[in-house]
Amino acid sequence: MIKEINLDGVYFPPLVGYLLGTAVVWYIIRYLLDWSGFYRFVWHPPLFNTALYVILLSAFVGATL
Amino acid sequence: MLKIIQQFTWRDVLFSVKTFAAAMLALFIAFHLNLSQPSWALTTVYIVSQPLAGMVLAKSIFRVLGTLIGAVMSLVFVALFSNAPELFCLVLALWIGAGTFITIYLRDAPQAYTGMLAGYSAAIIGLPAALAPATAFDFAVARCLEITLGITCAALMHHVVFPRRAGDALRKALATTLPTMAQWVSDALRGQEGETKGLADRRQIISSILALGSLRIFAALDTPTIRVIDSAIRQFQGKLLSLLALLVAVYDRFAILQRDQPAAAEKLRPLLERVVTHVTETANAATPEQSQRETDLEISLAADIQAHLPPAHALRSDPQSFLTRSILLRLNDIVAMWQEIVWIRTHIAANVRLPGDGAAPSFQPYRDTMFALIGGAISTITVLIASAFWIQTAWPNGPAAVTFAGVMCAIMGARDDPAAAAMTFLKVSVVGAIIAAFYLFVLLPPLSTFPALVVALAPFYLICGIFLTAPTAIPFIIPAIFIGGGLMSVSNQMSYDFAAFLNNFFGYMAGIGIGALALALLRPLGSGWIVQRLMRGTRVDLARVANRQIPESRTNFESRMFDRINALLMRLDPRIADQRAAMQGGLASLRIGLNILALRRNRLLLPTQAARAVDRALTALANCFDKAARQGQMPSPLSLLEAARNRVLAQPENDLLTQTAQALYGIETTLRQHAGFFGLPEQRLPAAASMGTVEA
Repeated sequence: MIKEINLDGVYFPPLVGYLLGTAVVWYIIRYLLDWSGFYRFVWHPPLFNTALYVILLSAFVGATL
Repeated sequence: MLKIIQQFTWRDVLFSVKTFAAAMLALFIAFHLNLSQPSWALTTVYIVSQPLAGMVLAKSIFRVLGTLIGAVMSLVFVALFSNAPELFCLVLALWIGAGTFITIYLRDAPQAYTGMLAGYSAAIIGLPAALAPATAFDFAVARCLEITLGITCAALMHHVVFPRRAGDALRKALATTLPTMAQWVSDALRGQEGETKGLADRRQIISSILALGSLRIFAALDTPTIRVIDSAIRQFQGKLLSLLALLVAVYDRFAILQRDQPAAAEKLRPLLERVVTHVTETANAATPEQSQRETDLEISLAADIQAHLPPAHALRSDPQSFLTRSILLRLNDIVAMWQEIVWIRTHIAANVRLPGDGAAPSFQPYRDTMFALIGGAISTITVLIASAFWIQTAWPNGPAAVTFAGVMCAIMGARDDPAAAAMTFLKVSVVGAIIAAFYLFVLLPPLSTFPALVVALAPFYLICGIFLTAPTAIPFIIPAIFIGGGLMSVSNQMSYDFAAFLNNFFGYMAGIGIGALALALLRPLGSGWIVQRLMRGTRVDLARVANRQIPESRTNFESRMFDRINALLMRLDPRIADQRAAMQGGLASLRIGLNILALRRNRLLLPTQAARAVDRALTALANCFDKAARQGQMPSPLSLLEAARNRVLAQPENDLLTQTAQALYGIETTLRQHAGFFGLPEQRLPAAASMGTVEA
């Protein structure tokens, strides 16, 4: 269920919640990938990370719609 | 962090207090004039404040200039495109890109700051103004006034109250230069230091000589009396760099000599020792006459060097005696150069103009146009992306995001790792925002007088001020001041609105985030890229020097090369074998370039046969360096160089021809010594070396 986030009387678009939530998961995944040495096989780490974030975000949004 | 705190002295505390006083003065005047955004004046004071008065002045001038240009341009954009937001954003993006290009192109010259400021001031003023075109002019004037006010207060305070002048710092640096240099001469000629330590020392001495140049610019601004010796200092710097090049040449060649012909090296050792003694003895000459007086030691030294020179016929039968000859000639040059340096130094110490002063050689920094173009393009693309996001979502705080995306790309564009720097900026901004929130919603609401405000602001700004004196802490302090001050936005009519605060905060964060992301995605990978660009630039430069019919002046070439070598050495670690090779390769390129210049100069006077051989060698070298620049590999020019040398030596002997052969031999040995750096084919090396011995 999508609804606006109420923070002390200030309303935020739901996307802000998704962005922050995704960021947490993203950080954890990045940490794990880094730890496992996965980035040695990645040509362009920043590009990979950005793509990973976008995929996670759309997955979360799609799952809760 | 702890280390930084332990290094603070009372001078740093004084600096912080002075800066805070200037900031509060600016704030008070801004309140009194009822300006709309007094916090800009406050932030400006902190941005321009630097330990030396001349540095403050330089940054101030170029900040005001940049702001004015940006303000005028923003008004032009508003007048032309205020009804078409897409077009407005497009021209703004192109303008910010142009500003970033200029900033990155000019590198560390003080003028570079103007480009950056002109670029993002147009966004800071233009975006709010475009939304309310009726007040655009007032808004632009207000921004210029507030910036000028902040700068005036800062410049006044740092100049009048216990100033620390760049002139004094320059004099101190000049006073220590000669003894340090003499010490280094003795280390280099005695060959006592290991390779790693030697490179680290070289790196330090090069950067300290180059630092004289920027200090000179600042000193001219805050110490008028020093302008008399301005050109003397320039000559001093140029000659020191030449001396450095000579010393490195002797050092490297002596190392080869010791490896290949230990007996010949031992014969030269007493001579090197005497040069060292001579240099240390004359380092303290006080008057010009004293520095010019020829001592007995010097005369006998010159005679001995002459006596050791291998005769011309020996050069024909044994090319290796070129090595001894070049060491001896360079020693001669070192003694002469040292005398000139000491002579100039005595004039500087006495603060008098050099007699018969012609135009002083100007220091020519290196330029990297491609790098600047990439940086400018990244700025433009980023601003376009942020604008598209703003226009598509009709987000009320979009303008702040667009502005900060542009600011990020402009100020971080020249960094080695701009994405990491932008991420640091983002993190510190969050801290700054929390501090601002604490001020806005806890500390400031009950206060109603100016003194109370000053007391409240003091802890935050005084602590930031102290940290501004530590160069390593600046990247962490400036964002806090910038974002904290911007969000606090103290003014006459304070409104404590949590919703507005959060909206602003998200606008800033989104902008910085977009900037960081764009820099991470668009900039080629890693800081190794910069090193590669520098090495490439070196090769392109060598190819150009070899191609140019009329040789450029030695000082121009030398200063540009040393500037690049300095940038290269700063980024490399002499303890890692690969990087050590790159450091030595950079210095070797300078030597090759100087030899090419000598060839180009001699070429005009040579007899036809020899001239044709030299021409062929130079064309081959130009092609090789061109290939090396583009592909990282070059076909070996060694055999061609050797053929040219033999052709030159086949002519009836005279000094000019011997010199030319010497230069050709120098290029050959240097290329061979640093084959890896220049991308010479490996397998040909042993063959080339054995050919040399067969001939010997």
